[in-house]
Amino acid sequence: MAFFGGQTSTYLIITEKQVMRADVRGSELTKLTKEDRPVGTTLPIAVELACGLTGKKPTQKTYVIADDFWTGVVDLDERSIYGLEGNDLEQMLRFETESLSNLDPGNSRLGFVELSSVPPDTRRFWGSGIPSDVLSGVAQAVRVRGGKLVMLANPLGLSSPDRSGVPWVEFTPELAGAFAAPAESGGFPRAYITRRSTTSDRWYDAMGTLFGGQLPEMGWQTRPEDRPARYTGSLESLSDDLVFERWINGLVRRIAEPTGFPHVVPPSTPASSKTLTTIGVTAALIVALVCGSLFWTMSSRVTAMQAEIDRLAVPEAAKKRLDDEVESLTEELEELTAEVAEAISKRDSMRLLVDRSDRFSVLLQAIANQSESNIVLDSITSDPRGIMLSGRAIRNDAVALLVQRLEPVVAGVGWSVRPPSVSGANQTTAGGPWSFKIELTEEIPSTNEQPLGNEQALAAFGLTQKLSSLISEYKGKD
Amino acid sequence: MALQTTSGSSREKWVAAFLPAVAIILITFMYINFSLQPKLEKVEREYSTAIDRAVPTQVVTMLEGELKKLRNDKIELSNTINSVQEEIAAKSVAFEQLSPTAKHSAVTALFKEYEVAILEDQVVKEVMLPTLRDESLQTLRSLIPEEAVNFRELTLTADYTTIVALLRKLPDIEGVVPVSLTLTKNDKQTSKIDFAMPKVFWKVTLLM
Repeated sequence: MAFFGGQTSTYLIITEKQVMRADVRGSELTKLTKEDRPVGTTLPIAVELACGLTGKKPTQKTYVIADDFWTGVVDLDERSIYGLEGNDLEQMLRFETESLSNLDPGNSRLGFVELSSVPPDTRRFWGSGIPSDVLSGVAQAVRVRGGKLVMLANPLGLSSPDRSGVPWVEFTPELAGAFAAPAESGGFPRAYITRRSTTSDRWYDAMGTLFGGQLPEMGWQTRPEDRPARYTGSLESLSDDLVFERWINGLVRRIAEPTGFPHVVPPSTPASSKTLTTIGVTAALIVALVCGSLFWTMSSRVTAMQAEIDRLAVPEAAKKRLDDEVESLTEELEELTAEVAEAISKRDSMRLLVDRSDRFSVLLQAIANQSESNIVLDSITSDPRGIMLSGRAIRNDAVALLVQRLEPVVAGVGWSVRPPSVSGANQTTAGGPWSFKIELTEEIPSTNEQPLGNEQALAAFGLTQKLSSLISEYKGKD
Repeated sequence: MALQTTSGSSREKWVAAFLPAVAIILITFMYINFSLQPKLEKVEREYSTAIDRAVPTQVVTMLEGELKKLRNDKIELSNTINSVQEEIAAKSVAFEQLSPTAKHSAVTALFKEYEVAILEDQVVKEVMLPTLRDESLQTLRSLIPEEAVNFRELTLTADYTTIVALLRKLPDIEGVVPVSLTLTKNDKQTSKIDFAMPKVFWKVTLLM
């Protein structure tokens, strides 16, 4: 699984006799399955067979390693390719290798790497070529099985038998090659590949010469019988399972950093209409969902705030209405208070005039009721303040006694008794008789005895005072 | 020239695939930017204002209580005004119940009943009353027609007891109020002390 130990990848290794599937997790081989390759099967069919070996889908990193297609080294005059690079250089190489690979330059794909140049003016390239239709077929076969083809390469020269990067040789029934990884300080790798001949050993001599003088002392051979007779180094045979597994491990490590060997990357396949439609519809749905969510969120927020505003407006409107009513009522109460005060004033005036209209009788009766018979009332006169009683008395203290008795009685009918004025005629031994004047001034009758103290009216008057304070308080608060 | 609408390239197909999504984004962006966002900002401003102006429920309850109290006070005040005005009306209407002639006849009949001699019976236009009484008189004049307010000054001679009784009875006649009383001794009275009842003149001014 992809979750533990790194990414999984699938290596489909196709040889002339076998189809193999190596499942790798990270850089560790987890499963190797192989089967004989039916005679006459094309590379795409062999790839499809390899995909189906484990019953599992190939991964999205599927590498096809097959010796079905051409790989080789080509030397070019530097002047003939001067200034070319990228696609132009590939196109040039396709034409230059046409005679070697028998591939149609216009209908094939070529992967290449530049090798160490050959002095004085030759540039050397290592290339692998495959017909375009075969490449498409291989990619299609992997895709049909649920995987994705990352690259396609010839196995020759991919796996070093020694991890330290020591040069090595490889011998297959048809090809022979010598390889050296580039130095750590950089530069180009060295390699030379040649087709073996059964009729002479010149190929062997040429390989040694063109690789750099002397062939490496170690390497691979496909089968034990592939070892050239003149080679004296150590070769391991891939027919041995343990050796083969080690070869695969080396291959996996090399392909993990796909530099220094030629490989062909499949053209990106255009997505089908169905895929595009599905992606478009999915994208549209997701976008619609996101936009809808955004719209819903904003609308909900607007709605929620509107509802809250409406909710807050209710007490606000109620307060405004109540304020208006209170203000209106306060004004009415002010007017009513003034009316009450005016009405009570009028009522009191009327009471003063009409109530106890027998007050003169009360006054005369009070004077008559005095027990002293030594007082004579001579006159009663009116003045702006009230009335004046004038008379005479035989005894000096009789006037004071009269005043004392009058005062409580006349207070109830609206008179206040002023201190008397007394003057003696000095006709008796005591200085008398005495003439006196008693002034009775008008006043509001005392409440104890007068009907003016109507409880309701007083309560109303108290109410107006209370209202006045309430109104002042409310206005002050506002 | 034929208009080439499509090149059939892969890029064009991908663009076409994502066109609906882009259109949705564009429409949504335009709708949000030009419609929803301004609306949201407007509502947010209103919401902020509403929060600032929010009135607690307790305030409304307090105002309702205050309003109820004011209404009750208004009813109480109206009742008081009605009660006071009824009293004023009752007091003032007494002056109009009887005609001046009828009131005069009733007064004359009362004097006759008490055998009081009326030496003089004059209509007077104005009477000098103490300030308090004068204010009450002005109030009465504001409440009833001017012709219903008349003064008569009666000069009487009678004994003290009779005058007391008469003055007690006079207010029993509707619309008759004694407003002034003077006592004048006979000018022929000597200065010598004489406890016999001297002959005196009483002047009673009636509002009627």
